[in-house]
Amino acid sequence: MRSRLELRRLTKSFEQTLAVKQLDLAIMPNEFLSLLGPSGCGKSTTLAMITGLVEPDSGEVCIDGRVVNAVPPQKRGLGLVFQDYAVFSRLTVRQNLNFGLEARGVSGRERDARTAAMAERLGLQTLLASRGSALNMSEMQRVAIARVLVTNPRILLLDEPMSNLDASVRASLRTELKQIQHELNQTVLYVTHDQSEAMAMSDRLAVMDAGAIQQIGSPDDIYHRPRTRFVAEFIGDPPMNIVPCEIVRSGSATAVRTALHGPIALEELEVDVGPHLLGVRPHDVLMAVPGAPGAAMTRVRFVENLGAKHVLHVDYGDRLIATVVAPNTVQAGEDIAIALQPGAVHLIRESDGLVQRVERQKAMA
Amino acid sequence: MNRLEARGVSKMFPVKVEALSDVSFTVAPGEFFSIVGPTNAGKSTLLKLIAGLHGPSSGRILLDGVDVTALEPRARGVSLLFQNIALFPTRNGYDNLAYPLRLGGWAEDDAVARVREVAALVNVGHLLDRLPATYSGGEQQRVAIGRALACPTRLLMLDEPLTNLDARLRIALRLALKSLHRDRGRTILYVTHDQVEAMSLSDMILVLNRGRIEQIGTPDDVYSRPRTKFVAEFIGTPPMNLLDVDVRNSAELGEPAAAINVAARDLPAGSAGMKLSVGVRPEDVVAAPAPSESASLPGEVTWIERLGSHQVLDAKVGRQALKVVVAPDHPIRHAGPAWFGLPLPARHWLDQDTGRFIRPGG
Repeated sequence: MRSRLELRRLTKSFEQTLAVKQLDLAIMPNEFLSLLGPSGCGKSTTLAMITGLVEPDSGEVCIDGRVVNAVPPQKRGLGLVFQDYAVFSRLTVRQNLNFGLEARGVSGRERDARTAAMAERLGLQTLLASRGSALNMSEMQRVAIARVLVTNPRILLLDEPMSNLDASVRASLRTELKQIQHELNQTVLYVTHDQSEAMAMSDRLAVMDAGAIQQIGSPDDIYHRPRTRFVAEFIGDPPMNIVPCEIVRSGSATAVRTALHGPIALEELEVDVGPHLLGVRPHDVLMAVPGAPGAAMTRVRFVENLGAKHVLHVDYGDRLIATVVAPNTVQAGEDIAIALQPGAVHLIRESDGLVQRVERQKAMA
Repeated sequence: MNRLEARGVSKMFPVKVEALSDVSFTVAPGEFFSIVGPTNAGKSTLLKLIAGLHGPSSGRILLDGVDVTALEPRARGVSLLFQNIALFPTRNGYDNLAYPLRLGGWAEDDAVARVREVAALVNVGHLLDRLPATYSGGEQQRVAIGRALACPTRLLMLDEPLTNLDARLRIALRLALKSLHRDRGRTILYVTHDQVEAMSLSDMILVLNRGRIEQIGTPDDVYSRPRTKFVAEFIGTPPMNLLDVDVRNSAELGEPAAAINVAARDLPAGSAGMKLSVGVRPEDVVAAPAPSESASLPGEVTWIERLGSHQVLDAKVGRQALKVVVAPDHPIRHAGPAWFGLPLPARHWLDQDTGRFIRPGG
């Protein structure tokens, strides 16, 4: 169903701790939005306020423009699938699907028709007579979702639904889940700490830390144009490299210098001279020809073999940074030249962690 | 305790899950050895047998050449960290970390240095003065991992130590574990269901499925030369594509429908008469918006997953599903018709009847 969910200045504290601070968020009809953050960031509290299980100290929860703060949880028209989704193992898939409908007073022919239609949409027709105990993980997940979707929720809320599953099952389920959402035009709020899940499925992500939203944007935005150091480091595997850097001025030009690289000229960027941090994704640290402009020599300390790619951990001043290369190009102990992908470095202000992306730059030999 | 051998180890349970059948392997001194497999494969059972918490139904466990199958857990000199950890609730972080060292008779000065070092590694320096009741779940787990790492035993066994942690924390601790192992050269036996962890950390990987060994090899072996269908699909995200083939006598012609057409001359030696699948890793598949010599199979991209550093194309070739990993700036931008190629050197041939890949030399 296509409904809109809006959170306005939502605030909640527990005893001394402010769990959610003045949170504003709008989820558009038909949108798949992920609320992403580490444990303790306030995302579960936010979800609990949406469902009505926790009452906000202040602020409003609106569904389709109507404030529902005073509406009891079961009357908000929400469908919730959570981590320990309970598929009744003694009941058949059909009985599992019927269950939610009967609880809402839907019975007889309408119940049967809706169950059959939902089973068909989620590819569960052949399993309708199977008991819950006979299902594999992927089927169980689909039944758990079908059982909620069959009740026509205005918004589907998914609370880390995959965290108990094996890594291999998770990867295939996330594609499936996104396709189901797309096909059914269902508004979805997905709560997770797993950035790769959120990146893979979402139309937009809201990255949350310390009770506040740090950034909202498309997966592309969040990955390529993080606004804060927290977002920059939270998104991406391997995580973004962060190294100290110095902003220098020579004549009218501004440039950045790190332990190994630079000066790299920065155009059209107003920054204070002095120490900053430079963020660069491992995919944007490139192997280069020794002696080429922008290339610097370093030593490979160790190599992580991830099959499709190898992650090299190389010396960079007083620390190690990561770079991603094709398999079996380099061994630990080798000396290689690395360069930073032009246009892919992020300047981070140390005082407040705000990021300025350096869109245009050139190496000065 | 350094070198570990399991010889023909089996374990029967009244219900079949988690049982083991004829498991043999050797962990060399200083090795990081991972046992990877799905839930209920028998991974934890295997660790418990090595630690002495279970007795095997048959087979033997040897530590440094000595048969310890009949020894009590304490007498084996190994340490085991479970997924569900318990810290001493009335001792602060420091005392929890120092516990195994005191048990091992370490001088307090040496223990202090070791505790500080381990605390820094798992990032719990700020928890040393506090009681576990004040920790978050992730903090408890980090202290528990730290305590296991502080153990002076030379064979350290870790059972899914990073499960239930935040994805970001998991990556950070994975690196911490890796550098600890590099610096110390301790023998580590590591159990996980997460193949990325196993690939990233290990010198050797044992892939376990339904209580049996599917393959033992280096990360490169299990990724680039999987022996069985199970290994090919379990290691790697997305998993290896496996496509049914129709053998043609000449070139690769015709519209693929139920199967991919391949030329007989491209088949591996000795495969005549076998029912084959061709396996190609998603990053090895060629995808293009227009047909060419290297991308001649017509198909359709049905979905694109943009993951920042790369994209996953969900595609169909005939009736068969195909996943392709491409760079973020790949010319295919939208779902729709596309052309695909399976480069000859990247093909793996699976004998469908045995579930094993055909490899030169077996």
